[in-house]
Amino acid sequence: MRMRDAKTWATELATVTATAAILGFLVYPTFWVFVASLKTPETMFSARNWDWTISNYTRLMDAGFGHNIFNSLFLCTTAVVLSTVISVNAAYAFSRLRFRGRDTLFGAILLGQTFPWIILVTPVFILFARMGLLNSWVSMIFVYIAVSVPFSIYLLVGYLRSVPRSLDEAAIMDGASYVQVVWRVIFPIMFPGIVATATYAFLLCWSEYLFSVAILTREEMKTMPLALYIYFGENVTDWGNVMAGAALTTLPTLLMFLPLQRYMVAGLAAGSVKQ
Amino acid sequence: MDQKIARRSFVVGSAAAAGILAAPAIRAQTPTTITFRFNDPEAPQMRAALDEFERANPTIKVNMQRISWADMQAQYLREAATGTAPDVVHISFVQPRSFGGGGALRALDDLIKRDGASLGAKGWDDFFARDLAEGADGKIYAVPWTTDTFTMMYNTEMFAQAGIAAFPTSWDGLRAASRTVAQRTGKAGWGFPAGSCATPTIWFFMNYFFWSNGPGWIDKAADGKYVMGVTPAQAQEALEYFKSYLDEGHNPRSNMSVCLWGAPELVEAMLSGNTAIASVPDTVAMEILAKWDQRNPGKKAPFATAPHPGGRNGSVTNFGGRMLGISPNARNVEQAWRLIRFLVTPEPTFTKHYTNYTPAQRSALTSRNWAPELAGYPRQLANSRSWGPYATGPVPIPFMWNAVGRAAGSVFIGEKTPAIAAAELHETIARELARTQR
Amino acid sequence: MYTTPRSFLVYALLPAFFFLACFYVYPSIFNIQTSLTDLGIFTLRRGGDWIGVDNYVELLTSPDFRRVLFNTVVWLTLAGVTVRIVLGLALAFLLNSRTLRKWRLTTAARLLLIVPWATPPVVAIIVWRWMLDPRVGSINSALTATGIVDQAIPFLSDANWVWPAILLIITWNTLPLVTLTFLASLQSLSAELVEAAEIDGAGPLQLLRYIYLPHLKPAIIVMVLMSTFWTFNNFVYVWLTTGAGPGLYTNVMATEIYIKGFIDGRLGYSAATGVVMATVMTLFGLVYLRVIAKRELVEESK
Repeated sequence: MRMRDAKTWATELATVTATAAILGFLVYPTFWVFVASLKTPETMFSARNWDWTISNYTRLMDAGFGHNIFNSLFLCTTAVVLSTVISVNAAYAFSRLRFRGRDTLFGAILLGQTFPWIILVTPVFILFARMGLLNSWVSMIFVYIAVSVPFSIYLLVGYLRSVPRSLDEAAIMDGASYVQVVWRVIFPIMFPGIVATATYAFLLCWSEYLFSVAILTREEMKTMPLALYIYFGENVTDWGNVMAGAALTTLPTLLMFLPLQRYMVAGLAAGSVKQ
Repeated sequence: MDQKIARRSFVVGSAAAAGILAAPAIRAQTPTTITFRFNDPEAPQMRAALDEFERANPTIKVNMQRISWADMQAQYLREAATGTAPDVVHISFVQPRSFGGGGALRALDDLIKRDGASLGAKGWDDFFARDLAEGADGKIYAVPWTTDTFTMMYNTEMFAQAGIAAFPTSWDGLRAASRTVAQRTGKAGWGFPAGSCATPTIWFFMNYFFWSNGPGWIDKAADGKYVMGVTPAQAQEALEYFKSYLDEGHNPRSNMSVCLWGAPELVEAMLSGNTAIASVPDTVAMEILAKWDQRNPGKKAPFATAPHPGGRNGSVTNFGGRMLGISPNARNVEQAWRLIRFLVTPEPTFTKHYTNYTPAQRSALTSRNWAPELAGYPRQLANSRSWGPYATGPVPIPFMWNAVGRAAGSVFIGEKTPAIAAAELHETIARELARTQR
Repeated sequence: MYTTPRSFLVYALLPAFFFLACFYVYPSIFNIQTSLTDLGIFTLRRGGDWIGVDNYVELLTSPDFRRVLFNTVVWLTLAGVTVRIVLGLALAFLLNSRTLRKWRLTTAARLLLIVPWATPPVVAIIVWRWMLDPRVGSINSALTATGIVDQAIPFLSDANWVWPAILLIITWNTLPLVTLTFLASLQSLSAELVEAAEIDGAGPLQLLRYIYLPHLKPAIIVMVLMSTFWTFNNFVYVWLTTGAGPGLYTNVMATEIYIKGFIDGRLGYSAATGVVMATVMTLFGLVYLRVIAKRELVEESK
């Protein structure tokens, strides 16, 4: 019996140690960004010298990085809210209504993701330039909605499977319109799934570079990734600014995701249950 | 019609954006705003210069936009194609011809004819690289702005330790010195960036290697046609030469993933004495010196600069630089031109603000003061050549530097033998030359 | 308002299809058209000349393209997605183990897992490039200090290591999403079911085969599809890590399009590559949908 206890104890210790090691490995690189961003550029890449400073951040802020943070937050939040609204409606239609060509349309949405973005940049740029929509929030929001709608619909259709049909059928019987059903009945139940979907969409927008570099050229409209890349000069890279910028690019997503974590996991679970 | 709609919505859009973000003060006379696309990292310095310009020209406001050099060409060309380019654009020496040919720059002949005599320090004729500013049609598409080149920078203490008195002047001598320093000090010799990431790295040295003994990749024949100047055998010799540094171990293999001149791997290795020799553009050399002074106050920096090794033609590097042009869709040409005239005049742009750069004018070059550690630069500039047939020929230079870098990379990792890679590389460039020269 | 199914359909689907049509249909037509011309970056203003299928012929007969296809399909997508799914499953099982639940560590682990996921790819690559550096990087310091290797490995410049290094970075950045999804799925599995099976004498392998995997199947299906789409078309990871080098050793479709279009300036050829790439992905998507996802959609509408 004691043997067995010792064995269990050893297994538990091994499990906990292994988990700690794996998690440490997963967290370390991001942790390093924050540490490096607080070191002077001279000691940044050295493991032994520590020369702490906040001057990387103050310099970056003086260069107007605050503006870039605001732009990214504004752009991504708006785009994600709109894309979620569009996707929830569409997902509900795909999931609950029967209509001709449904599977074809659903397939078309999914296959919208097959064209690599990099090849879309030139035509999309030409399209917006002809419409006079360069340097406008409208075009960037348009882009981010378009890139996030396909997988949002796909994931939400999956989540909707976990919502019993009897709920919305009862509401329809009571005379509710479909729009009311979607926003009063389905939305609250699906909220975790919607959070999970919106999180992907937000991340996608947050680090997007190819479209924004083409469409946003006015300094006051630039997003964080654009500002970050500019510090990689042809000859000289400003590592102080790069590290502080990298930390500031990571921080908002971290702060946003940690409290949403509970919903996200619940949403992910809902999307993956068996019918 | 298209144009009109585009313009109106653009104005509305930007006015709305400006209203949200800046709330501009209402003035009796609204100044004309022009946009200036500037690609170097020295944004605060350039902004200071632009502020000075605005004070001298109260009716003009300059909106500076920035983009990295890596994205600059694709972005500018798609803007020019749709009539949405910035008014004044910062381009490299090798671009006016191809940009002008594609209708992406405004010809400046009328303006230069009118104001050429007072341009820069000593008038239009004082400018370097005027040949590169010309399009195939003989029109002038840009004004040369700054010049730069690469020079060899080396650690004098490490050289002394290795018992090398003078910086070598031949390619074999350089390799021997690199090897000796590495053996005696246990550190790296010539730590060149050997990455192949679509940035020009090995491309530069390979050209210096070729030019010092003969023509480069592309040469202009007597009949005005462009021909291949390098033979596969010469390309093979060059690939073998650079590969030997990595094989013998005095350029660490890790430099094969380094694609930037100012990468921390290279700069820090020079600063910490882990690498004895580097070939760097003047801005990087200045950065190394500035960082050394900052970390070792009061101590003399152990660095010196010297021209690259040479051959039959002596030491030859590229006389590189940047120009300023006006986009074809610029509506305020006079204001844009006034900005260009201001920026190319050494006083105050280069004397007060943009001080790490050298104006592209003969008179300004001779009057520039170089730090003693950088004495190699004026010597190298005197021994540098224009991109010449590379810039005027039909093959895009980025195509060549990418092809050369890729071929070198596959040789360095042992994927291809120098002979095979050289033959393929020669064929790739020859094929593109045949395709584009019609 | 929108009480009939038809009016609601229009309201619900029109916005989505409006965005998709503008964003995907027009550019796709533009690309197909461009792929049949010799449009160059300098002739963008003037337009290219019609050259028929020359670009496709050149592309499909080029030995470089065969490598690009191999790298994209086998290394980036097949290996990348497999590693992610397998490790994601393993980690999810570990985090869901009785021990961690007993010590209430599962939630803490979930929180920590968010960290790599919230790190934007560009930041991830900056850090990992530094960590993999042979001279100052922490991975090599750790490997040499513990005596696992004698000499630091230049991961990104060694043909044997460069693909594993890229996959390491991609896996690090994308593993949390996969793990969290599988973990969420595992946590929704009823404990009684597992206990009942154990009482019936099922071993760990049998549990995996008959209880866990069937339960995880929907989650695995979704993750495989999404990961494949996201990875196959991804430009950033390879481009910022190796620039498709050394040589063209790690060139993939997205980087090939960038090199041909924006560096060599051949927009026509680059568009042809894009069309081929989209075709490959569409074929994959159609087969996948037909074999797996379509069946679900139909079942679900009964």
